[in-house]
Amino acid sequence: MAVPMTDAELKALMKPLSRVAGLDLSDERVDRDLATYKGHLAAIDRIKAVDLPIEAEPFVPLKR
Amino acid sequence: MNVSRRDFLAGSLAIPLAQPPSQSYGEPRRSSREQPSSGGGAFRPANQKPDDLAFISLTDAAALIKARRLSPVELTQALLARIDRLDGKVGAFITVTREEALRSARAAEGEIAAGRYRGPLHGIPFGVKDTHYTTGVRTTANTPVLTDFVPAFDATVVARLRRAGAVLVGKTSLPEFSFGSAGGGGAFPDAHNPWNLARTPGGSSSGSAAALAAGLLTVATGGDTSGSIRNPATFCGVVGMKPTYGRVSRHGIVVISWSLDHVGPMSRTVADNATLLNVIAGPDPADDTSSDRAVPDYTRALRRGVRGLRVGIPKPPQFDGYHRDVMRAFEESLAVFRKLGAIVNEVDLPPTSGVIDDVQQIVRIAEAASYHEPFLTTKADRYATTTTVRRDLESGSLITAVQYLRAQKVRARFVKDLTDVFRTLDVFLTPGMPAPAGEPADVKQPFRRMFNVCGFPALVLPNGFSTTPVGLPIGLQIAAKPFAEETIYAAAQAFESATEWHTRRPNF
Repeated sequence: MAVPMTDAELKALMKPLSRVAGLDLSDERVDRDLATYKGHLAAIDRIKAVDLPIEAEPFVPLKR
Repeated sequence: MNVSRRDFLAGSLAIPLAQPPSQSYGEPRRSSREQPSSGGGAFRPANQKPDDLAFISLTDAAALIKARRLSPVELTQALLARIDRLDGKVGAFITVTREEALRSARAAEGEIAAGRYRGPLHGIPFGVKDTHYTTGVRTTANTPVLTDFVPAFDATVVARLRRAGAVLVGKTSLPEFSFGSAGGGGAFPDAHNPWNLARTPGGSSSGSAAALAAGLLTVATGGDTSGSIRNPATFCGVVGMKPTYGRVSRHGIVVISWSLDHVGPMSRTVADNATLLNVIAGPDPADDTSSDRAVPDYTRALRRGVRGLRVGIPKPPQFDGYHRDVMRAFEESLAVFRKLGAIVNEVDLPPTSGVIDDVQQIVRIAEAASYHEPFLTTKADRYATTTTVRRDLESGSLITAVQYLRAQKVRARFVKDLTDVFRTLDVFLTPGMPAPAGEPADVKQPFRRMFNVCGFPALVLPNGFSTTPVGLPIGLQIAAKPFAEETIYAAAQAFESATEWHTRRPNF
């Protein structure tokens, strides 16, 4: 994470995020999901380390 | 080095197709589109034993069926009997469509006897991963969420195979919702590797690969989002092709990730794989991402050979952590290609390749979470408690749009950069997997997910067996630029013809 967060901070973030996503995760589910969510955030951090110009666009030519 | 088309073709003509192991059937090997014309009439037995039929190639079976020397019913019955006898050990099938298979086989036999031969898939038994919709036959994706799901239509791939006269024998095993490799549990028991029943067959197209290796199917299809055709094909010693994104319709396939999912052919030989792709590839109005590009006859590429072919390989540091036997087999494979006249050079991969598995992880799980939203909000408690699927999806639901789009921007950069790399290459070779089935591997670059991210085609085929532990298959991956499946088949056939790895069978 760009700004390191404790597990407690992350869990406090996951609860409202899951509510917005329509899942409303229980405390037990948040506990179970935390390690995986941290893995996703670590992957996102590594992706963010790639220097892209402001002109970069997310369109991938999938139909060649 | 630039090679003219004339040089390339001239070199290729010197390399014959491998003689099939079943020459004793008395039929010379021909391309699937060079079969003698069939008139009609009754089937004349060629005296095959059931065990011969277990491992008969599609190419050989098609020639015999067309000549009415092998009955589709006899072939189907032989495989069903073998499934009865052996699938308790292998666990390759979730559903065996016995009655439907026999009905289809009888119909094929009748049509062929009446002189209405449809082509090389007519009367050929096949299996599909249990993510493929099949009219009236449950499609479970090995999850309790879908155990009662009976589709009202066929996946386009299934419909095309049925239209070609092929005989659906069953729906093959996978991990729950195609997440991960075999061994994680789900609604049904895991598949096992026929080369060592205590080991994983890989995943997620586990059952298709295991069934082919065990001689329970003639051909099969699988799905590949993170390497799910190539991983089990490598572990089970069979041939698996992840075609170019858009080459094969995804319509009617249970989704993991729309932009990463591919459907492709699995087989025991390269020629069979090309024949199967001929049938399942092509535009589909029901899949907006399917390509309108015309489908060539892939079997015509099989005789091209590799003389002058520009082969790229990764630089040595990319192989840190790879199993010793895998690297030995890879080096020996490169020697085969050099001997056949290919030009092998090390190439640099784009810097973005270092994070491409991270990109794949975020794109995959964000798209999967979106697909699963209705399940997660209405039947979350039905996901298997023995797997991590629900956990993965719930955490994926928390990824923001900005984070997903950041991954897509890096993905777009990678595709552009890799396209540039392929301007100087015809094919790119890597090991199929970093280690044999079930062996630990801590590697920087597994070379699998990158081809889902960019959508370029990639095939694996057997290129050796491990010595430590003894007797597990090892695979070679051949990738190429978009829609260059013909180049891949040419290279794969040349390698297969020069080696005998594909002729070995497991003893279980």
